[in-house]
Amino acid sequence: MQTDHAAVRGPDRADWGGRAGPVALGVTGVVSLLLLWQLLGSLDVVPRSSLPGPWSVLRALPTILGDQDFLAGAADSAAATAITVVVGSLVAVAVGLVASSFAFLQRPTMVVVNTFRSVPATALIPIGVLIFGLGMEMKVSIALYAVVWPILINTIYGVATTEPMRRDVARSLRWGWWRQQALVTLPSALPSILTGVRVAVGIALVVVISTELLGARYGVGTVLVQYTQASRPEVVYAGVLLLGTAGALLFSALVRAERRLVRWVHHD
Amino acid sequence: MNVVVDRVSKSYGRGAEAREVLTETSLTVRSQEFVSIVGPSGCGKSTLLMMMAGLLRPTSGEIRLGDEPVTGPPAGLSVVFQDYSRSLFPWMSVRRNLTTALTASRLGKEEQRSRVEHALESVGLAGKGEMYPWQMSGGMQQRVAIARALVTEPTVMLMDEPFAAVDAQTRADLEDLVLRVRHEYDVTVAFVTHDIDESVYMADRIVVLAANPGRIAADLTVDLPRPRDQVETKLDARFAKLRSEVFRLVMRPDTPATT
Amino acid sequence: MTSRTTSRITGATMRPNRAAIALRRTASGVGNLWLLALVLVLWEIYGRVSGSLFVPPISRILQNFGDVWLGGPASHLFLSDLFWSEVTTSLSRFARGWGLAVVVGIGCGVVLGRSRVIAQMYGPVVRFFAAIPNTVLLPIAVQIFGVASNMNVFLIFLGSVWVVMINTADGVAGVDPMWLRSARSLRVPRWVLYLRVIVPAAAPQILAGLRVSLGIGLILMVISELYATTEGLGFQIVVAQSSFRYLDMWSAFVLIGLIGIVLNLAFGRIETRLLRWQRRSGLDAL
Ligand SMILES: Nc1ncnc2c1ncn2[C@@H]1O[C@H](COP(=O)(O)OP(=O)(O)O)[C@@H](O)[C@H]1O
Ligand SMILES: [Mg+2]
Repeated sequence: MQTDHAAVRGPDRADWGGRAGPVALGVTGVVSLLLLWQLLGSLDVVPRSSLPGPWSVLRALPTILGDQDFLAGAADSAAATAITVVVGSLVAVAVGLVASSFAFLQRPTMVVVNTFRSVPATALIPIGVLIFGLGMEMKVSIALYAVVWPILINTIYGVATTEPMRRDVARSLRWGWWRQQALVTLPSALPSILTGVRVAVGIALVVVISTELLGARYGVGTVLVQYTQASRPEVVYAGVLLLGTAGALLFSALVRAERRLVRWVHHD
Repeated sequence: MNVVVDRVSKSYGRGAEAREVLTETSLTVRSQEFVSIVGPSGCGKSTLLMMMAGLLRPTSGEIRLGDEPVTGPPAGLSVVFQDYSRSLFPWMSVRRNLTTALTASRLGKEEQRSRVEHALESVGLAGKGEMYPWQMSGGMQQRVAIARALVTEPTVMLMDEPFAAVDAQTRADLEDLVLRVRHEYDVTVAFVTHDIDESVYMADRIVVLAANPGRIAADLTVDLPRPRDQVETKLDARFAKLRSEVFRLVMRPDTPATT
Repeated sequence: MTSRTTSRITGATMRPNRAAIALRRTASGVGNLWLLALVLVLWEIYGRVSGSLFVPPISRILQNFGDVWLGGPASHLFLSDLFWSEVTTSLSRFARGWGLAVVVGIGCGVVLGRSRVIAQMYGPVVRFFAAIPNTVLLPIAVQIFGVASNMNVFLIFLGSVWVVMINTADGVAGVDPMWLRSARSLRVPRWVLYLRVIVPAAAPQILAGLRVSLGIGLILMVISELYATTEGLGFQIVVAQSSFRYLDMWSAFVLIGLIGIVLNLAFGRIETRLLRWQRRSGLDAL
């Protein structure tokens, strides 16, 4: 059976550009793209009504930031994402540890994982709406479905690549299952698990916003759909800009937290 | 073709960080000659060889191949790197590895094929062209690396500790292989090693490098008869004498030689 | 590094046994299906016991699946007309969007990975785009393209291109310098350097990115069809849902799932084949 742990290894290395590069170059890059954006509008390649210029989008930032619905929606989306990731991680790590502990469960579990994770979670939304309605419950359950598999794969992968010597040490000390999991297996698998969690955050966001676009009662997606229907594209773009910024900040924070948590890895 | 190293120095790093690893080194490897370059680890052997290969630029001085200054990898010069697992391309079959070396030479298909077959045969890998490096033992992979160096029919072949990673038995086989193909292909060889026996056994001349900064400590002629033989040559009294002399030079390069 | 060389020397001599190995592999593959079967049985039992309208037992879904999606003539591979029209619509959108993302992503990724300056200029922007939860672009895509196939294609492209680009750039920037040095000393022409050395050397990471983008592309294919279209698999789900044909809805879902599974399996096959040369970790045995 083909597995692919690498698949859930998110883009995390920053050795080509990123933080350290001279800020001036980064600014040049951004400015050149803004110019291109402006040009696309000016030359009427894309009509104004679909792609407002950078200025009008910037001017719309206060509108969206002052919109109580947007802020409440953002809080709702963030809460759904957070619940999903926390619950999903706990479940997936627990299942992963158990499945890895018994040789007869390992391959069958991978079959199940590889099957279900290949099913695009968004196809579940209409079904989720039927079963759970349009509230938080629906968002979280569909996002949970999407999030569990990558964390589970990374847990199993992390455990599988535990230094066998360490496990032998634990065995020779005649530690029980719980203690062995807590002191050897889990720490060894942690870097891989954390990568899975980071990927999961991204997936959860995508799925949560998808549910909102399709009718969930609250959330950023809901608000952006309303602005689209009200023909205020510049506000929609401003919202996307904000979400992108928030996402980028969140990811760099996650990467940093991850580095801190698994600093010992590099001292092996 | 002669390879001339003319008062070459090399520093790594810039400004205050700069560290000179090779200082004012001059050396000529004459046409058809087999020169061993030996010295302690970190003395700059690889640095010197990479500069000769046109893969590193000297900080000062000049390298020439024949009369042409070397400014990049020159045609007619091949390199065998120390770490075969990282210098062969594992995603290519052995044959593809060899033909890739020929892409620069613009030969016809037929000519390419016969060159590849010949090179594989010379290193004892006839019929193994469809294998992949990862299916082969370390010794076989290093043979592929040698074949890839020979397939362009170079006039000069540079080898950087080519046998450091193989076991003793394989190593002896590979040493004799290199001595054989050297004649078959009429190639000039500069051969870096840190193994003193090997440096004596293989060479017409031994250049001993001293460390910190790297420089030439001695240049010895090897007057052992050819063809060399793993048993006979190493029993020769001259072999023992040269060996101990090189050993002394490598370990304590500053004491004067006792002839 | 050393253990693999010894164990794999035999690779060439094992060929005659290939059929036997394949057979054994299939057998053990089937043996590993029991947990999946168990999950499906539990679903069946839940569906029957609960009697829920919304979660029918899997057997009834499969029956409906046969009625709706199968039953065509042999010349149509026993697949129904609806299957052919809807699957072709959806998959062609997917193929166009994802294919474009692969080409553009790998192309730009190689440039980013090779040029320090360009990476410093555009690296942060690329990361910013990658961080946008890409479904939020859906309303915008509809704004720009209206309800047309190009909208789906655009969204799939825009959603999947960044992962490919970032992974390619990472992979290319991380190519072992020994290989580059080796290629340089062989004096290979530029196109050989890129097509035969750099891209294959970065292939493990490029393919990892492609795998992730495959999942994203499918998610976006479905959501964009659920959100606004007049044909395609997602549209079938919407139609079934709004006319309370829950079995139809489920069987369309199953079809989408099967397509995802088939695409992923096929991708896995290709990936294993392309990466045979790589030292495979113990997990691949799983
Ligand atoms: N790219 C580099 N940057 C900085 N220092 C280097 C680099 N390559 C080699 N060195 C240093 O130069 C010295 C000579 O290295 P090298 O030529 O590899 O030695 P040898 O091959 O004789 O073992 C060593 O001290 C090594 O640490
Ligand atoms: Mg060296």
